[in-house]
Amino acid sequence: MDFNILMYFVFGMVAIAGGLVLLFAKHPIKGAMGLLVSMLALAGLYAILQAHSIAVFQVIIYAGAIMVLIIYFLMLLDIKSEDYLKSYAKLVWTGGPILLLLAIFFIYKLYTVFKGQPGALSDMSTVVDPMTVPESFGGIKEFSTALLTKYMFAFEFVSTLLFAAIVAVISIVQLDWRGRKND
Amino acid sequence: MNEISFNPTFLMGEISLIALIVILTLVEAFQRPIFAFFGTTDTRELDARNRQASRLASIGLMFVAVNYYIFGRATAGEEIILLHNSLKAGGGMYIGKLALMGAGILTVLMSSRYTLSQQIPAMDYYLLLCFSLLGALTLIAAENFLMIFLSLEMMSIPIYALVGLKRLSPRSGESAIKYLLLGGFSSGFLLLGISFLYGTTGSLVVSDVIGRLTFSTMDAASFLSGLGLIFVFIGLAFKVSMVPFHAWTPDVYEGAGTPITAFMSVAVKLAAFAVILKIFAGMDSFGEFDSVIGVIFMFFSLITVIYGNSVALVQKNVKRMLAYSSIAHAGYMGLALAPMAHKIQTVQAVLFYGIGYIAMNMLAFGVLVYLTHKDHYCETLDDLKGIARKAPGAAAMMTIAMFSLAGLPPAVGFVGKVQIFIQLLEGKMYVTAVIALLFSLVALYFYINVIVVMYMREPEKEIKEIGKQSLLPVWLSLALSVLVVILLGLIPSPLLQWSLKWAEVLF
Amino acid sequence: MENSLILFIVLLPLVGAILNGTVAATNAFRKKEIWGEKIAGIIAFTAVGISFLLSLYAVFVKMSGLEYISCTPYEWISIGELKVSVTFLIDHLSAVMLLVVTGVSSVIHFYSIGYIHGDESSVRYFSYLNLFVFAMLLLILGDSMPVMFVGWEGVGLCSYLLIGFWYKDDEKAAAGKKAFIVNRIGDFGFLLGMFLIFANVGTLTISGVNEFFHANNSMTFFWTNVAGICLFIGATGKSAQIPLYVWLPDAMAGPTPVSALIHAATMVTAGVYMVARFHGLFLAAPIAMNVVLWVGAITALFSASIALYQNDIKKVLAYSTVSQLGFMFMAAGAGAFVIAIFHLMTHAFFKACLFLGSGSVIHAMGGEQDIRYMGGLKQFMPATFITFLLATIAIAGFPPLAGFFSKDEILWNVFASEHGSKIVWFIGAVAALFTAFYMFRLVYLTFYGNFRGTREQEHHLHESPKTMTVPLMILAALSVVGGWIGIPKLLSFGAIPNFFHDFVGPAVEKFGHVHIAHYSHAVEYSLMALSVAIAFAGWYIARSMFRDLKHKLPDPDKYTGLPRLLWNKYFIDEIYIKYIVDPIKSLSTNVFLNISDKKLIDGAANGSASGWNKVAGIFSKFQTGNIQAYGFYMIFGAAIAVLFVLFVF
Repeated sequence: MDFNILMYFVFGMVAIAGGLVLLFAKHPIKGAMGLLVSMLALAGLYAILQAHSIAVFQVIIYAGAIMVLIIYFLMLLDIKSEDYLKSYAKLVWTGGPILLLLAIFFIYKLYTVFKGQPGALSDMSTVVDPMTVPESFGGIKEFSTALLTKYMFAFEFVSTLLFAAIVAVISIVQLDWRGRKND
Repeated sequence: MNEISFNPTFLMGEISLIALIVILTLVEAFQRPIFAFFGTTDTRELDARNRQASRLASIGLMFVAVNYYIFGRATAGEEIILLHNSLKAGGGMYIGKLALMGAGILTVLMSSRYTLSQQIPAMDYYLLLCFSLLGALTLIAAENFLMIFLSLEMMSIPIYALVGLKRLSPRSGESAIKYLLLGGFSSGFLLLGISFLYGTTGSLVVSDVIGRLTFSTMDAASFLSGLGLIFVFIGLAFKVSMVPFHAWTPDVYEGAGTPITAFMSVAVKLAAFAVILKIFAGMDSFGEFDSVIGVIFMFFSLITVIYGNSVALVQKNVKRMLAYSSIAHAGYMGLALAPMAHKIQTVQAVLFYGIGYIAMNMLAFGVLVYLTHKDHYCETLDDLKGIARKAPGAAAMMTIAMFSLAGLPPAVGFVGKVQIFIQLLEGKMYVTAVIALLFSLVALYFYINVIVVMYMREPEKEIKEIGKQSLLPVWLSLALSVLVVILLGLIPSPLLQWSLKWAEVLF
Repeated sequence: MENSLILFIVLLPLVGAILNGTVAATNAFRKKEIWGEKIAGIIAFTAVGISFLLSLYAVFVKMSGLEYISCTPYEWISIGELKVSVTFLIDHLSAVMLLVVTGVSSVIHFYSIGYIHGDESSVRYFSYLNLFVFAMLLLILGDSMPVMFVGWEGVGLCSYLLIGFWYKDDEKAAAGKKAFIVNRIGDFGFLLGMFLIFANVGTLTISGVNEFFHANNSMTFFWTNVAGICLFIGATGKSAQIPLYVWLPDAMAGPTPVSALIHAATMVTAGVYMVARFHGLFLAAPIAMNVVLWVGAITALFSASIALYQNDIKKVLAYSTVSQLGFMFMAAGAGAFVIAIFHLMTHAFFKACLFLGSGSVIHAMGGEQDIRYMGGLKQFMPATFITFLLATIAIAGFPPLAGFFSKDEILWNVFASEHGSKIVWFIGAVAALFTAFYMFRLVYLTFYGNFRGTREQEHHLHESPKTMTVPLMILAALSVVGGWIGIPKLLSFGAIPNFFHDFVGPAVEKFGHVHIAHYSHAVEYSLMALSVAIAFAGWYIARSMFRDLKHKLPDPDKYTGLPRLLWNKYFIDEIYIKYIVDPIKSLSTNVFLNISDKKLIDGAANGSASGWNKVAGIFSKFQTGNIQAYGFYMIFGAAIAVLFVLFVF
């Protein structure tokens, strides 16, 4: 149990670190690597929370397929690294301190609130403690049952949404040659 | 309210809309193969295909609207929740759906001219518009947060593409990318908020979540759910473009094709506001947290009103001016939620305002579409100079639209504003009301300026003849919206009744 | 009592406006005339004329013996507690206003047929004019504040459209815009007052509001006064009082009949009417009453002093109007609402006559408005001269013409009423002296002496056609006899009843009576004699200075000292622009626009680039900083929202 909690924080930190790398990397590819690390760490978090199927999907779809696409596009576009940071350095310098102060205040508040209620995190959740969930929780069977009963409409709706997205992308991509043909 | 798993009568409108989408897709996909099958090629120009698409889409949408009306009336007697807490249907819900369908039909009618003059491939365009409309329609009916999120995306994703479809303008693509990225950012906020709420309440169903929320200070769960509500608010405030989540609005409104701008400014706004009302208007259950939500709405709405109206003062581009005006209107609608105790009249006031806003903004943008033709963009104040002599009817319509937007009687905008102010007065928020009133006075300057420019300035360059292509549908849309603006301003009681019916479903 | 006759009175002008408006739009669009100015003029005149006849019938036949008649076509807005029904109400107060408005409007519509002759957009002109009458009737007869507000806005709109009627002239368009914006500031006050009243009283019907303040005023003393002052701010906008009077002189850019109808006889008096209408509220708000009194007095003196040095015939009349409106507010502020309405009526007669007379003069002079280039017109246009002179005598306050009775009563009430003040009486007396002086200056410079214009103008001098002189005569006659219906008991020794007071009195004295201090008759008679003496003094000074103008009038640009100040209207416009308009403009440009409204950057994505390059071009826009900045705004906003939450916990 202790190990689980330890790993929970480790993965969390790694995910945040990956995000920071993505933000501050001088080269886009490095940024993409940061993103990859972040995603893998998330998969680890899901696994610790007993959501095995989600963890697997996270690795296969995000860390696998999506990342490949992203890196492919980055190589194709060949964005120069020097203009990459310049533009929002100013913003970081002006807005950064304010947000940092706010973040410290936020963490302080979080700390005081949770310090007053040690068991709060596990109490509030009806999904309860990760240790006490049934063996089958997060497995592919439970996952698919929920998807095809309780969330069936949402599931179908997502397919429509994907269809819409495909139409959107095609219409944008088609735009150029179609226009040229008629000019 | 009884839970029926699936009853097609309640969803007949959506079903027919999806049928329309399928038909449009099939026509687009197969018309070339069919030509090929008969041994010919599709030699028609883009114009001819666009005309066909416009006819198909406008007739189809009108048919869908009729379906909504018939089945909406038939199911008005009871409210049910369908498909495992996914959608709510029945009751007065059809009013909202008809309002959104109205926005869609008006957009399609004016698009028929715009797609021709701007050489936009119309079939894709209408297909995406229908998808977006579907998203808006399910958004206002969504009963759980998952559906809210999915519908919001369904509404937005086609619009990201629609914004970029204005082929002749380089700005179009840029604004599409901007909207896409910032939209993704706001979705992130929304999802974070939803997961906080799910974490503290264990449910995705809006009514359950609100029912289970309890607030007390120094309580960790309350703290997290408070943050959750705030993040949900931010995600939705982005869609209705409240300051400071508005920054995309002027650029995107300016870059997008005018009918799309019109659609975004009214349908997206109304649908998103319906969700805001659904989540936040039942605030009495939030206990001590009421005041915070009230203060947040007051603060953000007020700076939205101030900012929108001030910046609109100095705009030279009419679309950009209308973008800031739309920001300001979002502020007015949000202000209704500022008083802490919410009644059904609060919801009614916002919905009334939103529906009225559909008509008046559609009218304003419709005139711009009417005046735009192949080699004449009508977007800046300079383009409008002296237009009254060339197109007196359009100038008169624009005048009415400006009056309504400015909130002058007897247009519908006046009644809308009156209701918002009454909400503020009944909530004893006098200072807020005075500031809002003051800035609606400031707003008058830029609305009137449009009228002055149209009627009292000499045109700088020769105004070309207004092109004749596809005038009829545009006139139809203008006539419909002007009728709504004037009639509902003079006799607002039907719309009051309708918005009350809809409010009963949301509240 | 319900009476649907009122509906016809209100709607007839609207029908006329719609008919002419449609035709005007079609004419412009088709470039072919369906009907021209003649038929348009007849339609407009008939609509208003019938409306006037119906009003007469309604007031004298239908309403005889009744306190009021009303008509409720439908309920306009009904939200929760707020119920606003469109109710038209004729009581004894609105009856006077109704007759004045429809009557004067009919006369001026008739005059317009001759005046607007030959103008290419005359159909549009008549449609605006009718629309104005409709809006004015809404304002007068509407028994709830929102309906009154619709009329209030409507008359503002029509005035705006009519000032800018010849919109090809930039100056006129600017004048129209100025009128509209200044009026909006007043409307802001009106709306604020309306909100305050609704929030506290819970009803918006005017009779309900008066009843509330009379019966059990549960509103605190402070807020009652604030509400009164807010409404009065609305009145200062519409009725051109300090500090919002600046639009009226510029509004003279419009056609002269419009100046006569809207900017002298009817619309500008709406503020006075509104104060009288809310007398229940104002009587409960002594501080607001005092504000009305003082603002009226100061405006009366201030604008009368400006009028002393103006050379534009219409500007003189405009400042005179502002000054006379000041007199009406003085009366209202002193609690003498009947007298305020009485002066409103007599003023409508003689000021409309003066404006129409000046229109006739301008018509004859071929558009010249500067009195330095007139003179000796008496022999060329006798009818105009005589009517103009009669109206001048009336406004100057010579007995027994209309102006004497009303003005003298105002001064007496200010002197004696519990709400009045001796200082204000003195200010009013000086303003009356100025009035007599500048009006006779105008008459002498215009009609006496030798003609000072060009030879060509002299050649063209002619009396105006009958359509223009007949209205002048009607109005001049009314200026002479109009005051006789309100002869104070003191003068007639009780022999002739004070018809006007008996008619209007009950309507405005229902909610409390203003106490008039008791003075001996001797005081009253001597004050009356004094006001006659003032009128004579003003006339005598003007006569001795301008009757036979030997030397040329000095060039205004060479004025120094006080004349320079007066000629430049105390530099009020310049002060407003420098200290109010410019700061607002620079605020919105410099602060809001530059900080946040970054323009889209045109660029890289041009048609010649191949597909992928184009996408890359679009992606390069990432680096303009806009998107990051926008995202940053969002985060910042989120941070503020989160702060609100953090402070609760």
